[in-house]
Amino acid sequence: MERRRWGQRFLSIGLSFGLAALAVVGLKPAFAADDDNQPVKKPLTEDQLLRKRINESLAGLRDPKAPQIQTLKGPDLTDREKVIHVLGRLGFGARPGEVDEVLKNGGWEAWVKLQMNPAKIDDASADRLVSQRYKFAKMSMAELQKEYDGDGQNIRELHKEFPEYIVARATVSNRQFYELMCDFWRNHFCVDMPQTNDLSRAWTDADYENAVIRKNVFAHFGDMLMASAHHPAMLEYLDNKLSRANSWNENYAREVMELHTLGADRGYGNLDVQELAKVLTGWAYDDSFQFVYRPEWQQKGPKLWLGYRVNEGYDGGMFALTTLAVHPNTAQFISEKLCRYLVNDNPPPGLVHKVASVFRQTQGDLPKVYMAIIGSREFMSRENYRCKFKTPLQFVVSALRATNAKVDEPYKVTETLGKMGEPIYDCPDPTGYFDTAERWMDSGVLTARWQFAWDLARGDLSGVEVPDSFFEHYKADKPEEIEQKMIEDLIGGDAGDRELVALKDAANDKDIPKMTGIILGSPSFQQR
Amino acid sequence: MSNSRRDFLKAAGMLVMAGTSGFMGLDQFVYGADDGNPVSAAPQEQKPTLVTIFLRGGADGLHVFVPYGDPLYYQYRKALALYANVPGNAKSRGNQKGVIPLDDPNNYWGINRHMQALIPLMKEGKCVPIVNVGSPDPTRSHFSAQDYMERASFGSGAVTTGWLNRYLEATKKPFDAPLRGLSARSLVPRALRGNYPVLAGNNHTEKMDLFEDLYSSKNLVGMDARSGAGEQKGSSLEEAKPVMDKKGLTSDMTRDIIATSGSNAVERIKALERVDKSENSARYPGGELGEQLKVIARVIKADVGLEVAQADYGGWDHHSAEGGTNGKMSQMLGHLTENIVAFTQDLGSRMDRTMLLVMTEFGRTVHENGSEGTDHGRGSFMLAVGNMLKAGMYGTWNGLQDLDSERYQPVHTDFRAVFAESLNKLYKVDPLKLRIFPGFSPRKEMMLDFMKPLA
Repeated sequence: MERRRWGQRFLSIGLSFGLAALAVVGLKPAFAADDDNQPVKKPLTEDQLLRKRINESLAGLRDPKAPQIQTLKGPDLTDREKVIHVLGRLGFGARPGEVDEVLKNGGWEAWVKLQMNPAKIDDASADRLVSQRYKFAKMSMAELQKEYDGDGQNIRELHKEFPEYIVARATVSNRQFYELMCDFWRNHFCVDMPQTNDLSRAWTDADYENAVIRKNVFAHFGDMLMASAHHPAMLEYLDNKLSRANSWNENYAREVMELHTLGADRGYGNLDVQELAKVLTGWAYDDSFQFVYRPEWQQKGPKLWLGYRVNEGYDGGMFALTTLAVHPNTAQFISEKLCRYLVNDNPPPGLVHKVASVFRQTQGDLPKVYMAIIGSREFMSRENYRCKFKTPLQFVVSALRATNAKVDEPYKVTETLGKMGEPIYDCPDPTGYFDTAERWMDSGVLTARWQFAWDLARGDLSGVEVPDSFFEHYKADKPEEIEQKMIEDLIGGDAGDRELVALKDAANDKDIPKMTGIILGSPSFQQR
Repeated sequence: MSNSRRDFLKAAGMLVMAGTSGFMGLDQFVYGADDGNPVSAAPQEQKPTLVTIFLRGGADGLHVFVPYGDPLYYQYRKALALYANVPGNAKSRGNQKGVIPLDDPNNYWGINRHMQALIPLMKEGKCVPIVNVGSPDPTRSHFSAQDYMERASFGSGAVTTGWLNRYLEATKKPFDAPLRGLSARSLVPRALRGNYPVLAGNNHTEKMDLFEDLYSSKNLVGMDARSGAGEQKGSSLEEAKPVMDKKGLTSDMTRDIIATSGSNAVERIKALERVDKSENSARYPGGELGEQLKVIARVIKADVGLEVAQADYGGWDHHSAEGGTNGKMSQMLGHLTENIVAFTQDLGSRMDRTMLLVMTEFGRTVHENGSEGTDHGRGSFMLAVGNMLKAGMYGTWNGLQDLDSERYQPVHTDFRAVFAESLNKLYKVDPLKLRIFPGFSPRKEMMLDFMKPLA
């Protein structure tokens, strides 16, 4: 299959064009030489391997041009806090008892190590849910086409079920970091689900989710870029399939530079947009929704783009995308975005610089880039602990996880996400959803969260159920005991005066569902 | 000769009015008090209200106000071309009357047929177009362009607040009405974001009472202790200053922001609930825009002091299938028009003190592309609706040979000139002295003078 070869093409084409950036393939970070001098080496234990990986990732630190590291204030996080931090920041939050479990099984580092190898994590519950309920989840493009193309009724169902699938999977999966990063990349390479039935590419999104997003979360950045560039959902969403010689369409050419790679107005001009649009003319898909390059639609002649002379033909497009995939501005832009998502709304510049240099050195090897962030001092610093405001998706999924909710048909949940301004696969802009507090923090969002918290705790959210065992777990004689236990479990012990005051009456009544609702709607629970 | 007649003549003469009459110049805004403070309005009076409608995606101005008398128009536009059924429009094709000619003896300007309900308003001087208006920054990124326009500031500079919020902040007083600003969507758009608390949406929750305790500033035991308990305080709104600056957020800051945001919500939702929920006195078309305008109209009619509100209408990024006479964009313009007309009917004489301002982040390429669409451009149009306008068409228009980079409608009017005049004439403040538009120092001739001072 064509798609499988992209990874190879990605390298070979880049090299054949003599890209300077690719010349560093195989270049080892400086410290690697020290390792080589060791006479005989025992195989490293898994822990040592993780350490090594972190160190490798930190190689960027030695870059003399790196901005000064931010002064990190505050005492170190306790082991427990570190676990709470990774479960909330690298996943959708802890399930009841999960913090203790992780502490027992080697702490945060062991958890991270496992999460970086999702294939090794038993995820039977999520698989069961997917195979039982969401038939589209494992279908190939051909199967999807057979099932959905032109079938209005079926497509309407998909419109409803697809966001449910995303929410359900994020909630039940044990591969939490994987699911969280799917959220990041889904927004980065955003496509939507059009409402009209006739033209609907909604069902191609089901393949997009698998073939572009899920498949490449732990691959190279260039793999995901290539996969998205070739996918019918993207070719349709940003109009490239309409782009032909002498009537090119600039939509994709602009957004691939602005949103997917270089970042807005970073080192390219409007002529570059035009020229890239010409380079990518003829990139379309055929009747069986497979990528096709139509030479007769290609704009004739070479194009002058970003200072390169790009040859006519499909390889010209591959050259351009390969160039973008490893461009220093791409390294900077993606690193900044990842640091914003994983560390702080205003990420420390020193960290971004370090991560970008790892990105450059590894040509965007995503696991290495992730580890450069996770292994950094900034990531684990007191200053960045619980400093992020949950996006609506993060909020609802964390609430479902925190209450061990049984997710049957989360239609009410996805509907609420719409009210909160984050309907899944339905972002109005190709930017995808933002994840900063500044973008989400306003009163409308909070009131919708209160209602959701209350409905969930009260059992008024149809299709979703908090099991009795959850409430029974907190039964105790003394109100303070109940309060303390719930605060510890649901908000990591981080209750402010507001929470304590608000909880008092409910605690005295031993009304555990009410207490649950209050805590889930409290300021503390909105943080991660 | 009627006023409007004369004005359209001017328009046809290609040099549209800019600073032609009656404006005192910016160094001395007509109603600006010397200290930059607003002159307080009489208590019983309806507050002037500015309602912005943001067309997101970059609406094609050439599809709205159509220079059908310009031969170049039919060179640039083929599949998208709109035709007027008038003698002299040689290209007019049978029944396809995509353009309704405006009252213009030069047979130059027309309006998209789906907007013809605006023509009576235009004749009365209650609806005025502004052409070739846009951003001084050439970005053609939706995100950046919307961001710049709503902040009325460019690049990723220090100004992070929206221009409407800066107006509220600059003119705030103790015991302000809680609903001076309102977003009818569930999120506050950038233009209304900033230090001044603004309510988003009307999706109040039944469970507000429960969470009121949790978020109410009255219950902040710890907070009170920190800020000096027992201290005499005015309205709690005065305290409400979410801190969001360029520095990193810490856990405590994040929590304070969340709590403040929640307590602001409680106060504002209560105020909104006090607003009479009676029916709107006009029929709005179905859809999100109508829902937003309905809420805004009700709040205006309740006289609770609403001053700025924004409604959003997305989906104007017509790279493909923009369509001609009955195409997608024309339909959307029809929808917009129905909403505007419903809003003016709903508000009736309150339109004396209410202005609608329709805007978009940029225009499109004057040439159509190969997919019956247009790509991102620069200048586009604005539309002001209200009873305080001066009839005419505004902006500078030198014909379609006058292009930016040979591809785009040019920007001859900085949108900040329109924003500044709106604030100046509606609220009798000097927005420049109030530093609502940092970095903007317009020359007198840049001002359009499209509004009369409020009575």
